[in-house]
Amino acid sequence: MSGLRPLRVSVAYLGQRLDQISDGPRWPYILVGPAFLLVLIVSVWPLVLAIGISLTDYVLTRPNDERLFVGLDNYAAVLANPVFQRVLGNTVRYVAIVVSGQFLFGLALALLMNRATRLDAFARGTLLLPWAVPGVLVALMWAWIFDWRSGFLNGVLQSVGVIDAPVAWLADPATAPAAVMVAAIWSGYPFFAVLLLAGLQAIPRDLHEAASVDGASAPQRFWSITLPLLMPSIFISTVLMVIWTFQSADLIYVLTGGGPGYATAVVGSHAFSIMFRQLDFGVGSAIGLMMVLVSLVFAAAYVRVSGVLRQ
Amino acid sequence: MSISGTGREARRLRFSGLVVALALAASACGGSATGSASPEPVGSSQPTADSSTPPEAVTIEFWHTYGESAIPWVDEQAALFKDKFPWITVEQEPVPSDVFMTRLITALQAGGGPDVILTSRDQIAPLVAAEALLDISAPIAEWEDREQIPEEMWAGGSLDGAIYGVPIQTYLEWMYYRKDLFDEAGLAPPTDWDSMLAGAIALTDPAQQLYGFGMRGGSGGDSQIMQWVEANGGRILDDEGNVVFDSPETVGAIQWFSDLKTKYGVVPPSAVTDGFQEVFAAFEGGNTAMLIHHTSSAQRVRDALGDKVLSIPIPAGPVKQVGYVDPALQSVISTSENKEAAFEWARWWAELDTQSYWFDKLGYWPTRLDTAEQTVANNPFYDAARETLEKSATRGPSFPEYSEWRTASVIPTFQQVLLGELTPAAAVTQMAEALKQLRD
Amino acid sequence: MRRPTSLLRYLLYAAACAFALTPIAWMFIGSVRPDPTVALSWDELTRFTLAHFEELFFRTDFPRLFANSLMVMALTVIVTLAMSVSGAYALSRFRFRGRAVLVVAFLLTQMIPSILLLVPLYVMLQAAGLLDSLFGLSLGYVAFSVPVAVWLMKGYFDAIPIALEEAARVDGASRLGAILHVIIPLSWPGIAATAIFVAITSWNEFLFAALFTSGTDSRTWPVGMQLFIGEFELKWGVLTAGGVLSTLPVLVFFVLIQRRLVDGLAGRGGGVVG
Repeated sequence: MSGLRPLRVSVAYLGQRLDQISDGPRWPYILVGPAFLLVLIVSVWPLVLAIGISLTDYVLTRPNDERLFVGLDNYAAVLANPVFQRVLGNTVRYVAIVVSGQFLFGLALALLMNRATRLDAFARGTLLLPWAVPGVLVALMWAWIFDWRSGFLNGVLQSVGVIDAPVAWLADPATAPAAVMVAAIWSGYPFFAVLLLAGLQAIPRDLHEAASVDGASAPQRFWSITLPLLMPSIFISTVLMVIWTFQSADLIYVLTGGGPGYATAVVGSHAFSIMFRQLDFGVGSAIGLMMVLVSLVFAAAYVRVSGVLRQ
Repeated sequence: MSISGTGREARRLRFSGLVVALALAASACGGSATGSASPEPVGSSQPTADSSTPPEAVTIEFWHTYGESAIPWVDEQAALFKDKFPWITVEQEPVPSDVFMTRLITALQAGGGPDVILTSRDQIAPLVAAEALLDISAPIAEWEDREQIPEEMWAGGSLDGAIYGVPIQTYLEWMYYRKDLFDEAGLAPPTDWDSMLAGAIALTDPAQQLYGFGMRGGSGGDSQIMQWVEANGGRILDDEGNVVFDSPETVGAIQWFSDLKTKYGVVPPSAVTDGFQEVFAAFEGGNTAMLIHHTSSAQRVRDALGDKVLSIPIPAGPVKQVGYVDPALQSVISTSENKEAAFEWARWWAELDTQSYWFDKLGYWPTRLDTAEQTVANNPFYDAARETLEKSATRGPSFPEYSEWRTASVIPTFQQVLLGELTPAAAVTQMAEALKQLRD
Repeated sequence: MRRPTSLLRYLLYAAACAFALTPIAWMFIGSVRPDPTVALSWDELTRFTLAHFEELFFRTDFPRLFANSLMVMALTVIVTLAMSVSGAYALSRFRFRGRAVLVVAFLLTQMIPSILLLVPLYVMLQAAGLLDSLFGLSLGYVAFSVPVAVWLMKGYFDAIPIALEEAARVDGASRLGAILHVIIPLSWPGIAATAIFVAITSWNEFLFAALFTSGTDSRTWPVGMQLFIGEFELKWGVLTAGGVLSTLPVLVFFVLIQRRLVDGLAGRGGGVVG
């Protein structure tokens, strides 16, 4: 046993030192240092690079000596482009509806699943499955559901008698946006359900018990106890989902390619196309940075309105 | 039935003339590229020729978009290749086609990237403009089998007289049609716009979910549009590279094509956004009677429909008959560190046996004339392809901005015409404007 | 009061499950049908086959790629949790200089669209020799998961009253001890939710994996599945089979963790409905 003694002494010493450090003033910096360093590396340099490139006429298919400084020309060109304006409008509407839908459905489920029974455990596993499905299959699944020829939706609606001829859901500008939104809501609601469910756990049960003893009904308790205490979870999940959805493009690309016309075109795929098809890195970077700016403005406004950081 | 003798002879004469011309041109300008990256042309010395010591072992990386099924086949070819070139190891990297350009451009920008890639017509132009591909005119000029591949195929991989890819498979656009349905209706296979429209109208029966033509309004549908435009006498660019898309001929073609949906209703309701999967599912599932695609799908269509389907050249327009014929190519990356080895692998794909192998596996029309004789020559299903080669073969659009133009402008704008949101004239003006901006 | 709400609960669950499961059912059915491309008919349901799964296991790179994804997911979750628990604790409990900057910076990483990240990350990974490596890919995932995880967990930590920690320290525990014995046990739901999020994100991630890995040594399963969509055919059978198997690890992970998600230990978790 004497061979182990040095080891035990060192571990005990290490533990003691850690305890000491954790009480010291440098502790927060040690805790947060590695994360901050990573963030610095993967965000600062790409941003700086992007800013630089966006101010030049950097088109891969044009000779090197033509990649001159053009100031804000790229930004002006993008903003003046009517296609981009339409696409931006589409994207804002898409994000608003999709995130709202995901949030509402996720919240409803979180409230529903907030029990420890076996049924609820089973339900939790089942209802969160959409989140687990890989992206390539999510798109194919919904392409099948909305398919004109042999799709599930047409099949069901026809056999029930709601429609008498199959509808081309993805080919009609009146229905295509809604169709892709439904697919997106399906894919993303579990994110909210899980996070909000975890947030619900932080609400002490005695608050609810005290309130109902005082005669508050379930809806009253929801609005005055649950919702306010859930705000931090709501805030973080919605701001993240808005940011991500604003950039997303894959699902729409497979389902409609942005069509018909420009009905379902979003900024994410537009940016990709400019950068990696037109090979215009200057304009592509400008679009990317504008996306960052939009997200930043949104987050800042949201923080202010929700007062979340005032703790 | 094989390719007629006189045609072949004439081609041979043209080949030799062209070979001499190209060899002179190659030696004159030495394959130098403009701009910062000056890739060295592959030297004219054959690796096996005169060295007493064996060349040092190299590994080259090959990127392709054939998908998962082809992985073992490419491995087989790499093994056969290694038998002949023991010092070269080929590592294949199958890349999902959706991210191929993204991955390639990212890697090249970062100073990395593969040695050989599989490319197609619309990638050649931007990649050459970005100085990403190696000029292989010199070693090709010395290749003894060069004449086995027709000049049109070499042209498909060339820009400004320099060759940037070895043509290995032919994408020849043609039309499949339901012979059984046409026979039943007493119709001859369509040969021009009028008979095509008549056939489509006769065979359309919405109650049976049957439509005359499987229009591809979604991704990839630009090919059809452009062929109709050219068939009506329209052009995208003139010889100086100016945008001349906005013309009465172009408007006429867009009018005729969009009328199929807006006026006659002979295309499925989903046609506006139908892409590859949808148009094939519809055709193979019996919902459409005519479908335009290229020869690579011949096998799957025949598997699905058997004798019910036959192929014909794309119907002629009022001015001419157009069928795009473009090759798939093996290209060497200009910044490759093993250019000779990379070129050997690229050229390997144009060998007789290799081409036969891939015809077996994929059914793609080979580029070599001798392979074509062995594989498709006696197959009546490919009559239409031979006819196209003789009469209507045209090179598809090939300029750097085409890829973005068709995705961001042509397809969505044409969809707007189909939806009735734009008139053909307004649409053509919009598309032409967009192209001018991209080329600015 | 009990019976009607139970019935309501069942009905709501049924409706929600129908919505959630229909597309997934398509995937399951497609994976066992002999020919998934033909229209579905009733008698087909009796003719199911495991041929696609067999092909997946024995004639594709599935085993290797699946294992790769598992390793990346495990590494990413562990490292991310370690870094973000500590980071979130610092942001939640301390008022130090640069705190606001950090909070914003973490959120900023999420706002950068991938088009701006691809080339710089490629350059960095290449320079560090971490291209085509599972470790490099995990590192990339960690770099982008940590900011989110910190934000998520900060919220859950914020909800734990400081009084509890102070009580523990009065009893003689150090800060580290308070973290280990008070904070973490109380925030299991938050940690579980964050872990699930990181696991799913890294498991299903496609773009970075497609660009930064090469060969079967480092390719992950999402890329492998995308390769079933080839130039000339879409292999529905193996693709759906692969999708079915792809949901399993996440499902397993979730089943293991979900007990923590609904934690009734501290008398918490307000049941609002019914």
